[in-house]
Amino acid sequence: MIKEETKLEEHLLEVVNVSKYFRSGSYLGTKFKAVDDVSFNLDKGEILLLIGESGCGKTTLSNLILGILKPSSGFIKYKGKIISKLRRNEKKYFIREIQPIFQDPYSTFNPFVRVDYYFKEVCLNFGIAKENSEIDQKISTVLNQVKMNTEIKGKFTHQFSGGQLQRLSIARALLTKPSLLIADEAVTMIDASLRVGILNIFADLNKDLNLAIIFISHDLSVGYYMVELSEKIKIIVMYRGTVVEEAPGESLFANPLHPYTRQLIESVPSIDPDRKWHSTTKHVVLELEEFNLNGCKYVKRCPFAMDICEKEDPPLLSLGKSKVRCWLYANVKDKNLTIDSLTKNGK
Amino acid sequence: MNEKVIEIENLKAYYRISGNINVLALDDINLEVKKGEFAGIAGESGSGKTSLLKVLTHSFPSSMEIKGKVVINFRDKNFDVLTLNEDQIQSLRWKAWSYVPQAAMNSLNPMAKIKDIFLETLESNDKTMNRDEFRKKMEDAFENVGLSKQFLNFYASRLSGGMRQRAIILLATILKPNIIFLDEPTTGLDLITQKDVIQLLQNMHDELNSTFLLVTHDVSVHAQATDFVHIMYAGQIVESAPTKELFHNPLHPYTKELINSVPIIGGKRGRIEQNIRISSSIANSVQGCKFKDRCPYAIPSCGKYVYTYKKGDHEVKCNLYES
Amino acid sequence: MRNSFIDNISNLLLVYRGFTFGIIILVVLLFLGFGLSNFAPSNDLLWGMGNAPFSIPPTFNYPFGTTTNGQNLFWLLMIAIKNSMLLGFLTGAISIAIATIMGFLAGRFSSGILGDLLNMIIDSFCVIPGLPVLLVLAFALKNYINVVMISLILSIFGWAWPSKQMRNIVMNLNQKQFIMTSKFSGLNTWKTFLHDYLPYVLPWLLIQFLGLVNWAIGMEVTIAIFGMSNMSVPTIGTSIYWAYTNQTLLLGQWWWMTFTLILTILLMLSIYMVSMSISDYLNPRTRLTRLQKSKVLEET
Repeated sequence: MIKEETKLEEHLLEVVNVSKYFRSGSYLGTKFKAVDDVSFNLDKGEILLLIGESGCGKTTLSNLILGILKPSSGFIKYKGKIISKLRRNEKKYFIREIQPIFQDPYSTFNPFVRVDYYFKEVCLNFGIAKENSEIDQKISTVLNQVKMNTEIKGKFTHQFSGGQLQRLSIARALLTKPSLLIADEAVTMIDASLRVGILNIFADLNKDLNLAIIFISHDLSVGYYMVELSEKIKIIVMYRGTVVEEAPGESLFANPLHPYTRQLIESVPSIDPDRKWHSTTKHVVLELEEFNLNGCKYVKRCPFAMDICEKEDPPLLSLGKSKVRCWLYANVKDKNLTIDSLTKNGK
Repeated sequence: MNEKVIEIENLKAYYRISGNINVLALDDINLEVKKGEFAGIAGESGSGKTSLLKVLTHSFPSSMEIKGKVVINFRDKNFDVLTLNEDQIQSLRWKAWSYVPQAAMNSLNPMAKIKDIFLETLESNDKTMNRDEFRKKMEDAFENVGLSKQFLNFYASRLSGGMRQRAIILLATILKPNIIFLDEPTTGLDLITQKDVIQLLQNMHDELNSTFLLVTHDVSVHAQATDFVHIMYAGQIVESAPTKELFHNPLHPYTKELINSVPIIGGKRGRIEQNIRISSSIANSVQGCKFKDRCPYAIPSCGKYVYTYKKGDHEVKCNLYES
Repeated sequence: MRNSFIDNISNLLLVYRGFTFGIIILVVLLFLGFGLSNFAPSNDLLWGMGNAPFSIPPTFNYPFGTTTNGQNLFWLLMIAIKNSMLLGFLTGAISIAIATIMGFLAGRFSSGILGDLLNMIIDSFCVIPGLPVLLVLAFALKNYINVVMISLILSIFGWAWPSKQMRNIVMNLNQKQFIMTSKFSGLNTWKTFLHDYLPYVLPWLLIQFLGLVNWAIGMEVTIAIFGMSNMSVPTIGTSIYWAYTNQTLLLGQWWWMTFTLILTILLMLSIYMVSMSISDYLNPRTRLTRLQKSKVLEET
């Protein structure tokens, strides 16, 4: 974030005022904004953590970046080129550059197909290797990078564990030497005790290959671990399609600004049985209704809600290196504010 | 309060693939759950914890062969679940126990209203009340846990996954069964919803006098929700202890590994290394301790036998404590 | 699958008794129809006048008896089986080919204009009443009517419903994650079709094919009863027609109609049983369980 705004083409990825509308239900359904005016940049070798609960738009956003969906408004640029306007031959190059890693390792690969088939196809289709010996060499290189030393030749998906499959998924993505990986809830379906192994791989890839990663998760403890491992890490918290907070990794945990971020941090269950939760969440409204609120989308659950929060959507305010979308910070000049000091007089 | 409501003795279960080739699911399980306890079973995928629940609730596939005793106490009578026929099991369901299987929230009929789903179960299992009384009962249950009663009139597909899961837990508890079995009730839900579900379970446990048995791979959930935890690995229970004791003083190397590999916010532990995994199903036909290939503290005797160490309520199967 | 074809067939034979029964009968009928019928004497190739005594019940020389015009019914029915089977398989093949292409394209591109257009076409053909149109066509093309022509006419409507099913299956599969993986692995539409869609679609295609065979045989009977088929060529339909119009049942000459019907039932039943067994065998879920079992066996 120290780069000047004039050197725009130096950003690896630029998301500029992107919104995406969907219709819920069929023809007479209501329109709702799955993604509402999201903007951010990502540089080479940087990690972006996209945090939010299900229904916050993070998967839609990742599909927009991957080019599976087109934005309803705004645009996304990769290395200076607008993704939705790529020509046919450019699309193939684009697929090389940005690779996805999906949530469910068991459905990432067709259960009827041998797993090494995918690796072979990637090599052949992108001109990475032609001869079998070359292909084998490329395969063992990427398998080493994900610390997978089991033989994969001729095996099917059910012969591997979830953790192993996810490593294979990452290895497959690495074959084309991409510059950006998009990992959508990549550890959510892995056993809690095995997640750390996969996260270590991501951190190592980022460090050793200078690979940019967009890491999507609903679990902030995963985010915290990534912050402990990596230096260049930025976090964006989303709620119901909008960005509610954006901050460098350490700042977010040291001083979470938005009430929702705080709630997310508090919700992580502690491994210490003596430390219990203090609060409960209120659930009055359905998700879909929250999307169509006029004011702040979080108002129904926010313990600090004020009158203005119901009427008007707060703007994204800058506070030092962080940005937050909350009326609590509207008249604030002091950059070292915390939410506690702001609401001392409140609830 | 010290009566046992579940007692399992020498339970062995395996899947018959073909001929005499078997895949071991449960290996000599001995388990006790006391009345009113909130017990937890932890372990990674493939450890056999789901198979254990399936045996307890008599919902195992026909390809599974089972040996041993599985005794459930209901209204002061002991029933060996494995010796009962289908009719007897049917009469016990929803009274002696209720079962929330994995991903239950996805198995609700999306075209059915929540209240109809509830009524179906209530009416077939409780012949004493009429519809209006049932409706009142459902509304009370919902209000009690902070869910708006208007949700009862919604179609299942309109509620989010987390809400459906909470509705299902309410359904499992509404008839006040003796035991409530839950298989991965928090998996697949985001953290805030997980917290809601865990708090719901705790509230339900405090209100009813039922016994809860929760199976999940997530040890933090056990730390927050349960009174007593059993750790499973490769079809065996390797450690059992009251929750606080287990987390403050874990004995088995696998338990330590489980606890240490959970990232926590606020700690400054830095990078957590994990050894290369060996699939636990391969550990089937191993002599001695099944964890020895993965264990950083393995000693020669681990390849020959396994010693069981017991101190009060805390029991662990590990040769390191043999002395 | 290719290199364990023998394994699959032996598996089918041992496990599914329906398959065994069906395939044996089918093979016998195939042999009779396509093999034995070649030995038919020239008198007995078409319905007409023969040299044999009129209307004799079954004897050693005339196993199925003779027709009212003195033909050996045995040879005529052998040819009838051949022609009906030929008609059935031809209709099935053409219809399935069209259905696969239309269904796959409609499903794969279901979110675009092409998909909507194809879907409309498929639905229209499903809804248009087939029988009246077919009868009109058969009448109009009376001079050219033969087995191949009937197959073509039947295929005009035969592809519609299977195509609709195919589209649904494809649309369902589109959601699967591995389709995305294939896309990001650089696989083109054809390869994706082969590896990702086909294993799931194959059982349906096979059932539909065999179902169409039976349907076509039945439709031919319908057309023949209306007198619209090529009435001199022996088929199951024309056999029933002639047996009926010659009033053989009234005259107590049971053999013509009976043997025709017995052969028809055997043919359709065997095709049905084979299709049911194969579809069950190829059902993705049972295939997966088999695959997993065999892999576990390999490992231990």
